Amino acid sequence: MDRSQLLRGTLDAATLAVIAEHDGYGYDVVRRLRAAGLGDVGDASVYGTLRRLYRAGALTSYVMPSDEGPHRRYYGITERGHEQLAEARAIWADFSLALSNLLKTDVGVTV
Amino acid sequence: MSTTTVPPEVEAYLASVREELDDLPSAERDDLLAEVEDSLVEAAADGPIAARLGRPEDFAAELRAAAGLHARPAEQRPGASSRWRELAAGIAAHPRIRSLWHLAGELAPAWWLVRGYLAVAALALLLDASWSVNHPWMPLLLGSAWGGVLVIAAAVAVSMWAGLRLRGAHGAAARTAIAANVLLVLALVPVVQHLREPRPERVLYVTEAAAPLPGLASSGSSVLNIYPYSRDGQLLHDVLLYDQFGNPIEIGHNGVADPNRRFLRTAIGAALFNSFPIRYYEPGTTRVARPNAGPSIRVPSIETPPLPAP
Repeated sequence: MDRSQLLRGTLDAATLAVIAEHDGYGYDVVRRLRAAGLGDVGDASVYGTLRRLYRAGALTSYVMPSDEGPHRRYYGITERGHEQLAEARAIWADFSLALSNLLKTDVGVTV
Repeated sequence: MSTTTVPPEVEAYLASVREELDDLPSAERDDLLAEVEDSLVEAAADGPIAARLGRPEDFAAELRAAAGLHARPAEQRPGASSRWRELAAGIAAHPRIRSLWHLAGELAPAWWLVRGYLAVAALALLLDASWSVNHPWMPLLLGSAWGGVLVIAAAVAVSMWAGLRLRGAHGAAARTAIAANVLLVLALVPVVQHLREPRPERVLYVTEAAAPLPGLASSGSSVLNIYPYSRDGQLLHDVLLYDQFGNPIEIGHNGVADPNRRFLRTAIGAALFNSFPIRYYEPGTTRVARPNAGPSIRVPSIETPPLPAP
């Protein structure tokens, strides 16, 4: 199974989930996604996704000065983003349950 | 955009990414790049970014895909700087250049024909093949000139087919075609040079007309004077001679008139070079020493055929 394909289909939901926890800026979102186990997520994919979600109205954006570096463009989740996230959660719950059942092996090999 | 200095490493990387995005609307591109710049400056603190982010082209492609933007059009792929591309586009948009380009497109089939021959000729040169003597442009392949014809016909057919196939092609195929065309244009040099080489001698007999003698000639030797005689053996003086066109038959009319030569002159003093026999004055005088001198001849006894008086 191609992990990058799976990631492509689920990165919107993952990004929304990370920002729903608390607001974050680009590189911060990358780090938090990696820390959550998506070690192979690409920086460019995250930045692109943030811009797209922002354009679609799922995120808001604001700039905060930072002491140690450049200004940071923070993203927060909007009402619309919350709706999208809830929808993604429902789809994923269904989907992952179905796939977990399908891929279950009776020899007890854990994936 | 940022208040702190951007490390040169990030600067270079960003420039490359910007180039890859230069087909996007500027607002769109600036938004994306602003996001990337802030993040890259921070990411650079965690280690070398190029090693972690991969090639700028791939980064840009991933960025576009994730942002839901169309992929970069394939034909704009070459990483030339946008300034060059704008310049090239400006030149290409000029009406004269466009009509030239259009003309080149129409003439392309002629080039396909030529390059088919060029490919075979270059190959023949590489293989050091012999060339037809009667048709110097024709290499002898597959054992004969007909083999050469066959190979050239096949090459031209392939070239035409490839030309039609690749018209307006993009990407790797187009690049290969361009490279092949450049190679074949370069092949023009040795092929033309070969065609210009002197042919081996084939004509062994050369008939060459002997250079005509200057002045009057008779039986291959120069005539220096003419002595006209009447039929009763009398030497005639001051006889004017003309040829069949009425042109004076002249002797010694080259350059300056000999001052010792006795000339008949016209009323305005022009010397006549066609009066014979030519007589010479004694040096420094206007006296001819022996006016009746001539070669020793003997006029034969003559039977005169009738010649009605005019």
